[in-house]
Amino acid sequence: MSERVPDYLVERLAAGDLSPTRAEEIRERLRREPEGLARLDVIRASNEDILRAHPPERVSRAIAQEVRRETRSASRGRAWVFALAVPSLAAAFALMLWARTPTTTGTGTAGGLSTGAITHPADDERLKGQTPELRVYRRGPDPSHSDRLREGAMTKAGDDLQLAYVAAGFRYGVVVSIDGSGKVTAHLTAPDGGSASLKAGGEITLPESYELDAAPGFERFVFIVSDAPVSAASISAIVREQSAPPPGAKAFTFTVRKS
Amino acid sequence: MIDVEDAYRQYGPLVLRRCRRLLRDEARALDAMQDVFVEVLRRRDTLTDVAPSGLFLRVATNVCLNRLRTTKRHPEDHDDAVLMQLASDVPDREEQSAARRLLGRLFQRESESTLTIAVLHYVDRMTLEEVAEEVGMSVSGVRKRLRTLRERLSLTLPEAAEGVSS
Repeated sequence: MSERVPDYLVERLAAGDLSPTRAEEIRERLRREPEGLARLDVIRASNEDILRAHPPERVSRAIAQEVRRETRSASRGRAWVFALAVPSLAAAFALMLWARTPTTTGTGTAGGLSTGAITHPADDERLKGQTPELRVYRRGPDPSHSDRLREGAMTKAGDDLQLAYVAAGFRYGVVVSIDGSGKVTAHLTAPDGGSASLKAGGEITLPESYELDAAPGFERFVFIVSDAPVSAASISAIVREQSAPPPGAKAFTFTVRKS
Repeated sequence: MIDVEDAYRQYGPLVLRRCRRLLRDEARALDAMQDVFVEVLRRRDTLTDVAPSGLFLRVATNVCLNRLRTTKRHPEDHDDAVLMQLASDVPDREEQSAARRLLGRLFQRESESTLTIAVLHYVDRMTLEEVAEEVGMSVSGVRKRLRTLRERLSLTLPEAAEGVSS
């Protein structure tokens, strides 16, 4: 096993919640390692970079919203999955944070956390706000209810899927899918088959849902975004041949399995 | 009540770096990071952990492994690069190859806890003692898990088991 202190342990030291004995043990190992203690500085700088790129106020809203979304799903019949309501979740989490044992040997901000309430913003801002995203929902018998699918979710013929996207500042985009038999379906394109103008403002639901047919294996959705229009030919190459998107464009996939 | 913002400020960067390391994709890592916080909020029974950094790192590892496992279950998404990335920290090329094969097997049939132990040991290069402390098992328990794993592998993939030593 390498003499280098594993990153995992350096992270824990930097977080500042190891026992004093354990923290000093790791710190001593870092002292013996060339530039070992400098690794803590790297983590400190990385912390600042990440918090600058992904501001706490925005991320925390996204997390609270996701908890709210899942709690709402639980209350609609999936209570066995997420049995905790937001207030009790928050209280339990607060207990954990207050119960931790901060030390003075770490380099992180080990002080106690202030308390406050989880916010439930009305907007649909999410962490991926700076990252384009395709979201796939399965609509149930109740039109007002749909479950957001995870990558790789199992589906079946007849499932009614509702697609939505987050443009994240990109002006043009296209949503198409290809199934296990190679059939390509356009869900969002311009009339000429090229990319359409995307709407800003968080999650945008496509006007029509999509019913899965009996083609076997899978349905792979492709979301291509760019700041300039992308031609139908380029889109076809990306989808059918998995070619690289043209410069300035990005392609994201979301695949569901089919039973 | 909790201030999620403070929790993220303290542990978010740590979680994101972990997700980046295992997923090697910024967008997926960001998405996974959010899931880690949601997951921690869900798991009331684990919230008595006195060292939240360990909890966050373990949950991050599990979330990422589940995502990678999901990817591996889809033939159309077959991408051995995922395993190459996971195994890339193993310095020796021959061991990298063996570790990749080992991880490929792991993804198909091993339990979440065994996967975590294997990643901590083979990818994070932690000693058996360090792994044991992180996962709350005895050293002999960790050793036994890894030995059982290698024995299973040796039945079907002898070269992988030989290439990965404890």
